[in-house]
Amino acid sequence: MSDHTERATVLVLRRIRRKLVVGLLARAAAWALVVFIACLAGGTIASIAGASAGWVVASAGAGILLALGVFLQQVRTLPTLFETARLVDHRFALKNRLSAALEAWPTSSVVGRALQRDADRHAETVDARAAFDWSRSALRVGVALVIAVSAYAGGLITLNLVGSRSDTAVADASLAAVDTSRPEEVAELADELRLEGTRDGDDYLKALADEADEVAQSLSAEPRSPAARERLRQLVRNLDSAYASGAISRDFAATLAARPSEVNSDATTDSASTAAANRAEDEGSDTTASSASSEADGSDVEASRPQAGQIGFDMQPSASDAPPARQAADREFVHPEALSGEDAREALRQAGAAPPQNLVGAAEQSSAGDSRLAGEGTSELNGDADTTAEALGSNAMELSGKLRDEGRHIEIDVTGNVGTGPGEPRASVSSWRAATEAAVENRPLGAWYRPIASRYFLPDQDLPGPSSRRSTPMMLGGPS
Amino acid sequence: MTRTDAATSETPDRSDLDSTLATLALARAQLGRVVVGQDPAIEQLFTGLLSAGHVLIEGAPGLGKTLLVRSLASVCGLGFSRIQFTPDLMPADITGAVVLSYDDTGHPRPRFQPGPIFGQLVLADEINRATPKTQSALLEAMQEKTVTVAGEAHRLGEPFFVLATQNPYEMEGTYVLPEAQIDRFLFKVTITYPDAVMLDAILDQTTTSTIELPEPVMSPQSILDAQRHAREVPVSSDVRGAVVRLVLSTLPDAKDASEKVRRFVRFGVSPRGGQALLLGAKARALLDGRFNASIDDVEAMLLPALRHRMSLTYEAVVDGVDAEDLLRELFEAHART
Repeated sequence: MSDHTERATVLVLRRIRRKLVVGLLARAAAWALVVFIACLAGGTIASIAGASAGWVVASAGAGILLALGVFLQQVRTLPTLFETARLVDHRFALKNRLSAALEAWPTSSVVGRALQRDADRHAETVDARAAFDWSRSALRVGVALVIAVSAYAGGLITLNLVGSRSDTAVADASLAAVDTSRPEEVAELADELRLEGTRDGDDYLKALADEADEVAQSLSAEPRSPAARERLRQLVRNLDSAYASGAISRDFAATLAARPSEVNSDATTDSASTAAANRAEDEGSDTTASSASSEADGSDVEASRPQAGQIGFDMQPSASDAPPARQAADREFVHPEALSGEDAREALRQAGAAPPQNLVGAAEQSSAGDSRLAGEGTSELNGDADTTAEALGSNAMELSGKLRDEGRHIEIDVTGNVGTGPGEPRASVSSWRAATEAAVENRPLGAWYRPIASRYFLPDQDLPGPSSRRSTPMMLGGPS
Repeated sequence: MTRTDAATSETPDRSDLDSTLATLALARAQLGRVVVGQDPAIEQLFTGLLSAGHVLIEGAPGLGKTLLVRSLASVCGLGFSRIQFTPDLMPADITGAVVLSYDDTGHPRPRFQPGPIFGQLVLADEINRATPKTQSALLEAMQEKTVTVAGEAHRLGEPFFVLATQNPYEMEGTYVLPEAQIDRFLFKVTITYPDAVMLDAILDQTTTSTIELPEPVMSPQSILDAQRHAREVPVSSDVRGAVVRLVLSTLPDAKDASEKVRRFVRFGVSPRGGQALLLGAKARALLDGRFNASIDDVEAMLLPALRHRMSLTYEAVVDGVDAEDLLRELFEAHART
């Protein structure tokens, strides 16, 4: 047996295997890259959604590990020469010629040698380039790469847009508006926030509304107060970040920035000087130069809305208990759902610890229930000196007092909004307003159901005559 | 050894192999000319001949079973003997017996008179009509290729090829071959009804005054050479693995046996069945002019080699489950990978 026969078959198979290995490794590398980019994109998206930056690092690490795994798995399963022969046999319908010849070598039998020659002849006809066309595979990998890179780039662009929006827009528009906002505008913002919060049942918005109320009060008292301005600035930042993360659906910060303000337009210089004064105040410089304009602004302020402290109860210490600047700067509202379990428990514990000061009671037009009070409604609890509310644990309160004998037991979920900041209590329960009670309707039966219902529920008041009430008398014991 | 030397030394062997292949092709053509419309059966018979195994032929009366066997013997140039199995056939009628004969001096001497089993191609016609005792006498000769009479073992000649026929319809008064005995047949070939075209050719060819007879194109030695070459055909581990998986998949007691096999198979294919399948695949490849057995060869020999080795349960019979369908399913599931 000549070496030529053996070499021809094996050389062809080696050439094909080399091509296969290169293609498979390239494909593995490409898929590994796709996996890495996908992991990185996931981490980036998570960070956009509000997760910490550690997510990006973790996802990058996971991506590297996964990519390595994909690559190593492919390397581990690279075809051997015999597997290549099987592949070629299958691809070219060679009826197991090459694999059998490869295994039968060396052979001393006549048939075995004939097989080597036969395999050699068939191997030379194999066009490896045409057989293992990687273009389709490369196309698939390319498309996956393009999608992954595009998704990642899109994510980055989105992140930049959000970042620029939350930074630049707020800084340029909303924060500029903060420096010139009048107390009435802030109070209107508070009303809008409260209205939206009440409608959506969002305690977070209500808490922001309370904060806005307090800021409006502070501004009413002292229009140029740097602490109040800083609190307003923080409020605007909170609104903006909440809108950016999707926690709220409306851009209140932009609304504040776009709010038409005569004062803003009339007193451009004033606003500029106010901003300058604020910056100077923050830096601890003298603000004497701006005090005059501050007084002028303060003269315009009129408390044309209910005082924020009159409704709702605030379990935080009053603003005067903490240094104003620090309180304004550090106070950051956190949505209750974003709190960890321990934080939430601590917040609720603090919320239940202090007795409520005021309470808004049931709707005046309540007519539910069959009691003497039905239809009469209840007296407004707010401001009722005889009515007290007692906290029962962390999330229940009982109303008692001189409210008739029946009294009412109202359970109030006090999972309020929580403010966190160093050195101050972490709980701030927003004001509670009763929602409109569900109306109890007495809808008449539909025409289709009346004849049916009237046979079994007497008396029938819907049908005119007794003949149509029960067409078939009930027969007990069968027909007589 | 230089290439030229090697080529020179290969020439006689290669020419021997080439002549074997050419002879086989010619013999097939000769047989196909006489027996019309039974190409699959002819191929399987030749495969059995190259595998040095015995073949059980099953088919309805009048399909040309006897003609096929007789023509094969004629084409192959083998000594042909026919045994018509009947219920009163005795073992000695097959193997032969010791008889008294007179020598030249006129003295009587015991002498072994060989029976019809001492042929090269033996046709055991309607084997299921003989009693199990007689059947077993034949089967012993098939397995051991020796016949023992009066304590003396007589070696059968080579090649030794038994073709037994049985009629699947007339079962009354027959003795069904037990599984252990039927397992001795390498292949079970079924003769099917010819289609219209073939039937027309048969009628045209066999109802004239000149009936074409096959010419012998092979010799016993060429058949032995072909059998040796068939066993030398290489098989890749891939194909061998497929046969192993297939055989194991027919075992109902196997750990990973399918639900269908557990329900419908009483006992599966024995290792002898695997041997038959692989040997048949090798012979078929050689018959086809190739030098290695492929998975296609295994598929082609699947039913002839295994259909009579897998016994089905009563539940399978009631449910109309066919062993051949089951084998095809198992092949697709376990061997065709």
